[in-house]
Amino acid sequence: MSKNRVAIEIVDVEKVYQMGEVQVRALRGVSLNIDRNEYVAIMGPSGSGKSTLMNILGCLDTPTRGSYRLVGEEVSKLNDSRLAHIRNREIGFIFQTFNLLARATALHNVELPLIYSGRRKKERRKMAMIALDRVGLADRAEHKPNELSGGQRQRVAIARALVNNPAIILADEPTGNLDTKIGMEILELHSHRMVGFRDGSIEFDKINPNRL
Amino acid sequence: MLILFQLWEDMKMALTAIFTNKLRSILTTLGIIIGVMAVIAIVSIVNGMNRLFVDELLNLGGDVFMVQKMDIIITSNDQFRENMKRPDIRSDDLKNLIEACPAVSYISPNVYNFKRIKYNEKTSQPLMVRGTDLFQQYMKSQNVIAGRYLSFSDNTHARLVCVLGFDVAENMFPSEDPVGKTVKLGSWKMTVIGVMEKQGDMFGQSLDNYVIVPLKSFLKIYGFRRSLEVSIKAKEGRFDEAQDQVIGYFRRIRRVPYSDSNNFTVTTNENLINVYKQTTAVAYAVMIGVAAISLVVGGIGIMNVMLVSVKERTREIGIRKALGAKQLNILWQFLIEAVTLCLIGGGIGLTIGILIALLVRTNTPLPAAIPLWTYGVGFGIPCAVGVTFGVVPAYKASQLDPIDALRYE
Ligand SMILES: Nc1ncnc2c1ncn2[C@@H]1O[C@H](COP(=O)(O)OP(=O)(O)O)[C@@H](O)[C@H]1O
Ligand SMILES: [Mg+2]
Repeated sequence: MSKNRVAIEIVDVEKVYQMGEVQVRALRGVSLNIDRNEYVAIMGPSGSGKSTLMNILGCLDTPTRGSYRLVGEEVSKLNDSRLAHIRNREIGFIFQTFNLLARATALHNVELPLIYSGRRKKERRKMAMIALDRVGLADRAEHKPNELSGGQRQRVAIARALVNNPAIILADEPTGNLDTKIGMEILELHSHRMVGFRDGSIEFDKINPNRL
Repeated sequence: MLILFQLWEDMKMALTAIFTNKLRSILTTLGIIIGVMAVIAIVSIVNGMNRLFVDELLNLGGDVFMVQKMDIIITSNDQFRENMKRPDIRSDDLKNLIEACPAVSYISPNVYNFKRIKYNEKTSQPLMVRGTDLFQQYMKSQNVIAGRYLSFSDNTHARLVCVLGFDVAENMFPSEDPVGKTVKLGSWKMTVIGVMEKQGDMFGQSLDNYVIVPLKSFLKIYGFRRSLEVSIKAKEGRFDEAQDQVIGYFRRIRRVPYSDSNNFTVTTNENLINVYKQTTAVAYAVMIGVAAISLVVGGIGIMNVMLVSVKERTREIGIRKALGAKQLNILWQFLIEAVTLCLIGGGIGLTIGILIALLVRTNTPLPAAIPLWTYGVGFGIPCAVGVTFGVVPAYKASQLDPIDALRYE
């Protein structure tokens, strides 16, 4: 990444869903700058477009209008291969529904980003095991998602988001659908990881303000 | 090396996906299984026919024809049943043949078997063991290059002696003179008395892979209840006449009514070649037809199941893309999966095809053999089918929009 201090820069972003006759304007001219090493929480009631924005920031979706510059690069101008590289190396995404591969073990789930970084198997295993260990799930490595509790699944998702040392971590409602105790656990995990991330700027979506 | 290793990794991943849907995968590969199986089985059977044909041709010189019990090619059940009812040809039937047929100069009875021979610790390939008599050597202009041919008394005394085809002598006795040595035919010890001149090969089959033993010794070793094939050499320029006389002779001694057709078969070189050309052409046409149809059907099955699989795994594709999979990674993943699926089918087809060839070999006189290149076919065809029919679903998968794929229910 360049020396540019501003990591994320969106200007006047709109997202419109065309539902037959009806247009749903999920984002209406959002502008936002996020610097390096910044820890940002975006809050809003359900349906206010948080996930939509997050998907755009994570280079999974494209805005209908407006510009998104990621470390100076205009995202809409990037090709598939470059976007895949960014999603793989620069962004760690913790989805609201975790999005784990149901048929794969926790370990394999955490390995996935490493596969697409072209890491060799041995190295992959090791890095994934370390990441799982950090979230306290080393002993659940061979479990499939349906053999894990909700909180454990979320921790697998966190391990997966962190395993490739991304510059940006995006978490969609990290505490939203879990009980408070697990939510706290995860927050602690995040702050722990933050120390290790010199370049990391973490975004949280709808963190319970009382807990921060 | 690294690429091969990576390929193996990718295939293992594909296998995991395939094994989560075992039954569906097996059903899908049925077309490939049948296609590959058909190719292997038919190729090996035709190969066996080539060998049998070569062995038949071994008997026939220019003005030689044969009388045998069964037709060479049987194409219907009725024909088979009629053939089975025919009386065997026995030595006694031949006693008066020469006197009755003035256009015939010699006759020689033959019986065959496919067996291995042994010399010390060495065992040969299965080869044609022919029981015959001394007149067989006049049917064709072929000389003895070492030792001697069967004699009259070898037969009358049923001596345990044999004459080797050139290749057998060369393979079994690379550095010794075979004449005078003892080879084993099953548990029977046979003394080698001679070696025949080399004849070369035909249709890729050696014409020199045989052992000749006296007819009487053959019958003693393998049992008497078998029909003879009679080689008959016509006198110079009297080929057609000789055939007519022989046909008349057999009809007479068998008392075949005037209106009935022959209950034996007369074979000449010419009609042998015609029959052979027809059957192999048919066999190959059938092979190409069956294989092509089942492979296309199989390919469409593969395409269908891969399309379903892409649909079912839309979310998985979305997840992979969100984590950094490029279009090419996804394309590759599904292409490998299609090819792996086809290779499994190919492997099963290959195995069944080989089993069929073995069954044919042990239960029929056809020495069915599987040429090496069919193993290549067993892998090549499935790969080609996998790529051809897998590319569309794989491309579709690779082009999915990440966010749409993630949202897919
Ligand atoms: N794929 C879609 N198609 C149509 N409308 C959508 C789609 N995704 C989201 N929306 C709409 O956009 C709005 C914002 O949704 P979302 O970003 O998921 O909200 P949040 O995450 O803040 O709860 C909602 O009104 C929702 O109905
Ligand atoms: Mg949401």
